[in-house]
Amino acid sequence: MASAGSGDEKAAAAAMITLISSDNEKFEVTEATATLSQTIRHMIEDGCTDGGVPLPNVTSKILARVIEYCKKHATAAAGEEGSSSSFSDAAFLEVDRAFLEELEEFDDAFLEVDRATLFDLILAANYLDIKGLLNLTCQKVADSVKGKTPEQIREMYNIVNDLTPEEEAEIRRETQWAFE
Amino acid sequence: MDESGSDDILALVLERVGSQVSLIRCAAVCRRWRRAIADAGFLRRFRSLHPPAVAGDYHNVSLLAPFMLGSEAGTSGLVFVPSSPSTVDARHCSLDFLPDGAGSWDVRDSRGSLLLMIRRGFGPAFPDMVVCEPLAPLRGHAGGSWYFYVQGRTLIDLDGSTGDFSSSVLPPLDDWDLHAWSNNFFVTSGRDGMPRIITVIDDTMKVLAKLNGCKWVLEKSFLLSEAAQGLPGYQPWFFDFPQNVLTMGEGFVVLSPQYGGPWRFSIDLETMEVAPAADMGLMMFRCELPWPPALHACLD
Repeated sequence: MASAGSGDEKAAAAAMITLISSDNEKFEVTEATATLSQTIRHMIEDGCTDGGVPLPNVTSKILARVIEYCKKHATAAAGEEGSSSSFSDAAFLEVDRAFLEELEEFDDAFLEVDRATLFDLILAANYLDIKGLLNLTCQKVADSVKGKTPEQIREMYNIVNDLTPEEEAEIRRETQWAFE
Repeated sequence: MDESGSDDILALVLERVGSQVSLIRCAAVCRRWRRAIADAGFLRRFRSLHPPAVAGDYHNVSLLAPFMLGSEAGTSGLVFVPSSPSTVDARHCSLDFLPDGAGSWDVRDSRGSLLLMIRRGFGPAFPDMVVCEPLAPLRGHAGGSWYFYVQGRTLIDLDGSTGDFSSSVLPPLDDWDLHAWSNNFFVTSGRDGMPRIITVIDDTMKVLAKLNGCKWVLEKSFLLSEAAQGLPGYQPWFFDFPQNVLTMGEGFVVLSPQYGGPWRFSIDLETMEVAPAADMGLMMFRCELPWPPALHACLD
């Protein structure tokens, strides 16, 4: 559609999608931002986004964070496309690198949330099929168990220990070297 | 992660736990996590995402060489050097469970987490050999072939993939029983992937190859002192004493004189070219963490 002319191009860039959270809050986002979600991309392709996209699994609090992430990363994706197709100057590579660093800082700051929010973000990223966000949030949780004992992990994530002391001893015997 | 109902998401998180030790600890958190990790598909995926974890390297050190090499080996013939950063407590890589302790054994080969051990100087007749896995009970598989020597010039070949034994007779050009006793003959592979027998006796190194895959024939024989002459730091008297085989790999061996300080050189088995091998250190036999990990208990 973008190839037809500058007028259409403008229209495509300005195309807005309305996302509706479980608590009925409406969020207007650009198509570029929304299509970071494969789920929404498919809906747009199927032409069923008129009147808004209801997301009954995502609260407004979480949806706002997800949109914040998508906006930032959609700009990044657009920037990458632009630089790879038309510019190859060292100056532009320098700008790219600075932007990637900025993106990394954004991701780090984005992950500064409590555990409940982090899990809600994982669930939303999984439901909306946003690969980057899913990877980012799952990695954050995975990193948090490094160097921890099973007991510490249970405490961190409120996991009920359904193993008897005898079973735990048996498990430790199997791979003793991993527990000391 | 109890809040998330989906096992898919649990797997997404667990496959990103980079360390194998952390993964095994996660498998002791609760039944659900344990089942998710013990799943064959999950373990395959985890392995494809993360390289094998190295516990460390075993080095053979002659009983006298530690002082000469300035190593901290003490009186034991075997040293375990944990990988850095350390993945497991080095105590678990101890080989003290071997009869008479680790001091009387040499590592002859390693595959993954398995070690092939030979008892040093235990009678000229039958060297004791064991395959052991210091970190977990023996699983009984190994890639490639294991070679065993049996008194009377017989070499036993244990095919690691089929478990089949075959044997071949060594040519009568050497006193093989004596070599086996003094631990100066080895089997390694050439660059063509075929097995080679290496003997280092006094100053002479011999390389034997298998002719048509059945009969062992002498391929090369040369004086080490002559081959190593041009190397920096060379002293003729280094070769008045036996040489230690420090390590070997596809198509090369690394030697060091038993007396004369930290001076090492490698020999290319094909070209017989020598090169200083100072920065290879004493690397000998790499021991990886067992994979797949033993996760049998409490999976119901």
